Amino acid sequence: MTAESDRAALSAALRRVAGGDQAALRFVYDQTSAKLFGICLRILKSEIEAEDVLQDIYITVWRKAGGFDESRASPITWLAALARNRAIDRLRATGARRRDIGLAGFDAEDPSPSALAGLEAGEDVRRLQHCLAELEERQAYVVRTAFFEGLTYEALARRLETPLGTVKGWIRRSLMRLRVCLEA
Amino acid sequence: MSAIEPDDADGFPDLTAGEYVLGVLDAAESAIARRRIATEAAFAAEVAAWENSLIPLIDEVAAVEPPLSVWEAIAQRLTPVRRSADSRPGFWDSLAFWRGLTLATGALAAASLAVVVLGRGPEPAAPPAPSAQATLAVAQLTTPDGAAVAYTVTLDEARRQLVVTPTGGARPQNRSPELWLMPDGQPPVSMGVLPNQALVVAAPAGLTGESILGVSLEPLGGSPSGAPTGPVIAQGQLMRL
Repeated sequence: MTAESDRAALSAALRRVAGGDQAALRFVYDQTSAKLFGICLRILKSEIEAEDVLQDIYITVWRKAGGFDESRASPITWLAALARNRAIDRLRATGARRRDIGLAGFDAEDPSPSALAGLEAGEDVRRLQHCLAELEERQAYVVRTAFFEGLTYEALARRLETPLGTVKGWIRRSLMRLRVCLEA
Repeated sequence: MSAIEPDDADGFPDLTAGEYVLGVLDAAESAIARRRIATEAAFAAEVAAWENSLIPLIDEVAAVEPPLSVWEAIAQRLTPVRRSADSRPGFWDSLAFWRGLTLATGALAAASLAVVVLGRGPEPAAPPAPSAQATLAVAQLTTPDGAAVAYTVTLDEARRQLVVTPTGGARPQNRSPELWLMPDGQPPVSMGVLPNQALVVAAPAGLTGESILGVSLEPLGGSPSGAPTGPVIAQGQLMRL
């Protein structure tokens, strides 16, 4: 199955979900839940929290599928952005507690791209990876860590034992360079 | 501590939309960003552009199958199908009935039973006794050659609920089976794409205990046109019990 037909099928299913079609929601779930669960797990580092947020995500899809606009985003981008927002909200809500406990076992996760990543990637992925590779290594690392783990500036600064202003500078400079590179 | 830091963070244009999408804003800043998305079209467009740019990174996130309990919990929280004012217990609530149906079709898996029960929404768990007043109709949707039963469909006319249970057979790859109501002399009406499990759906207007139903093979996600486009793989007529 091609990415194109995937996208068309998901878009069609989301339109049906907007019309109240439960079977279409099941289809969307079957096609996307493993990816969205992976995203939630990576951010929340707790299966229980991730399962709970995953439920909320698809309930939101059920209620808000009408807000999906094919002309603005691909269905998987829309779903993944929703998943990240929900997972990050949950992380912020529980973060104060978790921060003190420490997550040493998870901190070692390397956000560098794996050798296999992008092997079958679409154009947008290759482009983003190219632009990330253009950044200084340390800045690319910080951007990836922020993205995959949903860490705030403050949490990043703590994690990297680097002053907050410096971390903000890295991220903002990276965002500007990415924007220029992606628009090129 | 900010007073003694180098001012690396200063001198940048407003990158709030990108920072929001990247996920570095704290809870309060994110809430402000969300209000701006709702009220400022230009900011919302900027966020959408950053999402399209950055979200593809999820390509690197490993997919992890969630446990089955997650879908079951979601199914329970979906808006319940419309119920008739008369909520007397009927055959519908009877586990014995479903066990009987299981024996009758020989293919209704225990897992499907669980879905059927869960799919009904928040209701008393104890199965009440069958009522003779329930108005049930059943159809066996067979393959066009009549050789095999592909789906069993049960309609509760009083509650306007329909249960569709796949009864085995290989599911074609890269296609979605879609259920249609075939009204006499009128175009088919879609009743949705059928999952691999039993499905509870609200009966559309026009569906009676004698309706003819069909299942066609459609592109993934269902017919793009709203009318059947693929071959009919199963059909049958409801009959009142």
